[in-house]
Amino acid sequence: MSAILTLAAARDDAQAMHGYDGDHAAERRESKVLQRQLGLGNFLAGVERRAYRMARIATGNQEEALDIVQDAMLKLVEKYGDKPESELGPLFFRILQSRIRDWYRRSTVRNRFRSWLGMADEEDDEDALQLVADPAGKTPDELLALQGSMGALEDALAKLPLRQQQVFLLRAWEGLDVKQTAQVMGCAEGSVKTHYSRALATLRERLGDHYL
Amino acid sequence: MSEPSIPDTKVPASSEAEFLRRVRADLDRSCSALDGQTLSRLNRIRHAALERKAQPRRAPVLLPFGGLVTAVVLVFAVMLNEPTQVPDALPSGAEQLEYLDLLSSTEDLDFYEELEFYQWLADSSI
Repeated sequence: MSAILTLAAARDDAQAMHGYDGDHAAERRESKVLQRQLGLGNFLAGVERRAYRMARIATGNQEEALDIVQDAMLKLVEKYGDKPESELGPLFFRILQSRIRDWYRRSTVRNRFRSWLGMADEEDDEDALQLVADPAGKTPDELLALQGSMGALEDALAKLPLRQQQVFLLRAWEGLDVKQTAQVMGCAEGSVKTHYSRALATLRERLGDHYL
Repeated sequence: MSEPSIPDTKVPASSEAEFLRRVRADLDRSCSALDGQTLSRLNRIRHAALERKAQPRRAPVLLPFGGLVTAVVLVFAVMLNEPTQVPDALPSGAEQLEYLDLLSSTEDLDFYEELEFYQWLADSSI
């Protein structure tokens, strides 16, 4: 009889212990989820302006750039929201670059259709106007800044081929190394080096007057 | 990743490193100079993305119904395509008569189950 009682007591102890541990495990999981959520929020807050500027330089259009950033953020959160914060940077920029390339392909196809349909002249006029910086949409600080070397830099970057432009921004601004940039851009490391060196040479040539 | 902003002084960008430093500084300044409307929209975009993450994923409600519909369609397809069971050959005339004899007989069913025994009994009595 005493043996049975001993066994029952041991079982109760084990159950109590298990329940206690279970509660703590749930708390730990909840805390981890909150930490990840916080880390994700901090990451996105830290990167959103640069992402927008990259997309804006690539597209030359505020609305398109904001759409691209929105898509990239949603995709990151949905697909990779559980990844550690240290891995989010390359993942986010890979998505962003993919969205920028998608935009570029769509706009290229659209422009081809327009030229085939004989709408090129009318649309070209419209596009040319849209590409001109709108002074009314800028704050005084922004206007002042654009008048200096920053405006010249933005103009020179916008005139680079898309791949050169984005490789340069990822390497020179985001600080990604050649391997990371190749992964983000989905190309070979050799291509990254070529694009970067060409972009750098062109920019130094074009910005010489402003940076001397 | 990005260096802090520096004043826009006219320093000769003789080296590549100096050139890149100035490029980074200008790009950082362009981020700081973003207008309030753009910043507000970026803020809303970020919050919308994070809210989506916070929402628990809803179970696909229609999935079981989809499975059920598929199962019903498959059952019907199998039933409609199943070939009708046609006997290879009809019983001959003698067999038909034998079957008729069996059906019209008043003997108990047990008799037919033990038919071989009775056959043997009949043979041995001869």
